Amino acid sequence: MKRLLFALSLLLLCGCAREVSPVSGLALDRIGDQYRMTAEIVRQDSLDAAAAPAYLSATGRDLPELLRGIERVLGNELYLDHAQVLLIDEEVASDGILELADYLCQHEDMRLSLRIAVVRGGDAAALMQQDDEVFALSDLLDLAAEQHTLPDMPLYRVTEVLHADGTAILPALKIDEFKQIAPAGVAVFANEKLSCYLDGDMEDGLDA
Amino acid sequence: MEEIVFTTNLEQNIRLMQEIFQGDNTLVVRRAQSPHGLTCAAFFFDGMVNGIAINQSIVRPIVSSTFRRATAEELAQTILQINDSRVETDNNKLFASFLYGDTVIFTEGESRPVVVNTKGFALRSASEPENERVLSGPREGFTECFMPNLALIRRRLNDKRLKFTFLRIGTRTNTVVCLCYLDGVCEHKLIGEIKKRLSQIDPDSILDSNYLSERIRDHRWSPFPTMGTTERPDVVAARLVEGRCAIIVDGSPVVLTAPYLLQECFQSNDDYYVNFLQANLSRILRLTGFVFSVCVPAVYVALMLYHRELVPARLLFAVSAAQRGVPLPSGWETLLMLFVLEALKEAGARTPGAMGQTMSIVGGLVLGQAAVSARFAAAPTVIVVAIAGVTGLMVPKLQTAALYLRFGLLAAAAAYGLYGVGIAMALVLAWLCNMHSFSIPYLLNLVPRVGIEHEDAYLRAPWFFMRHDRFPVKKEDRHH
Repeated sequence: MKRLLFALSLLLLCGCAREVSPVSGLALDRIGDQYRMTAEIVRQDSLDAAAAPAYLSATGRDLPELLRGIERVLGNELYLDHAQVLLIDEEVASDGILELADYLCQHEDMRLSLRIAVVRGGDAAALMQQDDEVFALSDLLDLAAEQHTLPDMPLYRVTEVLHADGTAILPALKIDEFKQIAPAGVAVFANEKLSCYLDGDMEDGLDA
Repeated sequence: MEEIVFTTNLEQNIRLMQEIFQGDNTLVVRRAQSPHGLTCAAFFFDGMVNGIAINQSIVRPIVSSTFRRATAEELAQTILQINDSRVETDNNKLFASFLYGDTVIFTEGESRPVVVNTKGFALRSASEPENERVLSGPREGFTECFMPNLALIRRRLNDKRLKFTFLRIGTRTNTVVCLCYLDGVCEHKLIGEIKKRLSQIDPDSILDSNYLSERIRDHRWSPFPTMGTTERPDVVAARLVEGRCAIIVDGSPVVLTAPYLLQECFQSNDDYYVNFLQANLSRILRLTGFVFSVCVPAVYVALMLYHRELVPARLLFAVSAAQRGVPLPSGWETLLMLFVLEALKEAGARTPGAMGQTMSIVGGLVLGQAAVSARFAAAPTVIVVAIAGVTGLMVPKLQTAALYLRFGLLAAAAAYGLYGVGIAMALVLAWLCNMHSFSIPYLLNLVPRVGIEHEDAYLRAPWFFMRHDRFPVKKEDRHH
C-alpha cells in the first residue's frame, strides 16, 4: 500500500507546475552591429481582468542569445507556442531572412503559422508597442490576408519559397499619420534580402 | 444440528418445541381443544403471521370440530379451512417454513406436524424505486418480500414457459433464491451455468442479492458490472424475454439478471417508454456524458502540464490567470478537488435528509467560491471537476467504473500527458474486449462486426423495426 501511494505521488508530481509567460509577438531590430529583440508578453492577473501586453527587450548577436536575454529579464521561461507575429525592421530584412526563418522553423516551441512582417521605415519594437491590445497585430494581418490586401505568408511558406529560389513577398506595416498601425504594401525579397516594396491592393494575384 | 424427533404425545412435542426455541419470546403456543376432544397446539412467531388467518382458519375449525382424534392428513385436508396446508415430515423444510411465518400444528396422537401458510408480516408497498425513476411507464418496484416480487414478474409475462426454480442458500440465513427464466427462450446452457455457480458457493448468509452477485459473477475484480441489477419488474420481464435469466433473492428488492453486457449500462428504462427520437437523444447524451466524466479531468491535466500549445491562446491566458497563485500543480489540484467531490457525494448519501441540504450548501461553497477565492484551487479546475461530477451521474450503473477510470486516467495524464491518456484508454478497451459475462462477450454489439443488427446498442431502433425475438446473443457469439 505504501509503495502504491509512493508511486502515485511520483506520478502526480510529474509535469511541471511552471507559471507561463505567453508571448504573443516578437519584434527584431538591428541596433548598430547588434540586434534587439522585443517580446510582447501577455499578462492577465485575474479572470475578470483583460489580457494586457507587457514588453521586454534584450540585445545580442544572435537569436538564441536574444531569447536567453529576455528570459533573464523576465526571470521565467518564455512561452513561445502562442506567438503569432514576428516584426522585423528594414535593416534586419536587408541583411537576409533565410537564416532567421530556418532558426524559427526549427525552434521546438515556435508555430509554423507565425506571421512575419516587415516594418516599413521605422522601428519594429515601436510599431509593436503602438497598440496595447493583445493579438491586435495578428488580427490585422489575418484580416488583410483574408481580404487580399496583404500577402498570406506564414513562417512555413516563407521558408519554403526562400529555399526554392531566394525570392519571397512579405506584408509590410507602418505607423500612419494618425499614429495607427496600417498596411504598407508588400516587401519583396530577392536573394533572401529585402529588395523593394510594392504598393497598392493585392487583388491582382500577388498573394501567394 | 442434532436430530429432532417428534412423538405422538402432544405435551412432549410442545415441550420439545419450547426447548428448541428457548430464549425466543416471540414464540407463541396456542392450544385449542374441541368439545369433542380434539386437542391441538399451534406454534407460530408473533409478528410473522396473519392473526386473522390463525383465528378463522385454524383455531375456529379445531374448536368447532366434531372429531375426537384426527390424523395429520385429516387435520390438513378436512378440518383446517385454509388454502395452503400440508403434512411435513422433513424437519429441515418444517423449520424453514416455520421460521418464515408459517404455523406448525401438532395434534394429540400424531407425530407428524401440519404446516399452514399463515405468513403475514408488514410489507412495503410496491412503490417506484428511488434510483430507477422514469418519466413515463410503469412505476411499480420490487419490495423485500419474495412472493409478491414473483407475482410482479408473472403479471407481466403471462407465458406458461415462465419458470421459477427455488434454491436455498446460506447455512445461517437459509435464504430462498429463485432462478427465473423463460423456458425455450433462455438457453439451457446458461441456466445450467448459473445453477452450477450457485451450487458451488457456500455462504453463511445471504442478506441481499449483492451477496450472491459478487460470488458468482465473472471478472469479480472488475469495476464494470457483469451482472445486471434492477428493482423494476418491467426491466426483469424485458430481460427474460430477451433470453436472460433473473435471480430473485428473498429479502432484497434488487433482482439480478445475467448475462449483462456493457450496452445495458447505457440503457435507461425511459428509452423504451418514450418516443425513440427522444430516447436516442438521451442515450447519446449518456454515452457522451460517460466519456466526458472519465476523460475531462485527465485531458485537462494533460493539456495544462504538457500540451499548453493545444489550448487556444485566449483560453490559455484566462486559465493561466486563474491558476496564478494556486499552490499545487494541476495534477494534484485536480486530484484533490475530485477527492472533495467524492467526499461530498459520500457524505450526501449518508446524511439524513434534514442535514443533507446544509451539506450541499457547505459543499457547494467549499467546492466552488471559497476554494477559488482563497486561491486554493483554480476556477477552471473547479469547472472541470464539476463537469466530471455531473456527467458521472448520467450513467449510474457505471459510477464505480467511472470513478476508477477517472483516477487512473488522471494519473496517466499527470505522468505522460495525452500519450498516457491514449495508452491507458487503449488498455481499458483491450481489457473490456477480454471481458465476458456468462460466456457472452461483454462488448457484444458495441464493437463493429459484419452481420449483426444493432437494434438496441448505441441507439434504440423504433419499435416497428425491432424484431420480436430479440435474443441478446447468437450461439456462434458465445465465448468459449
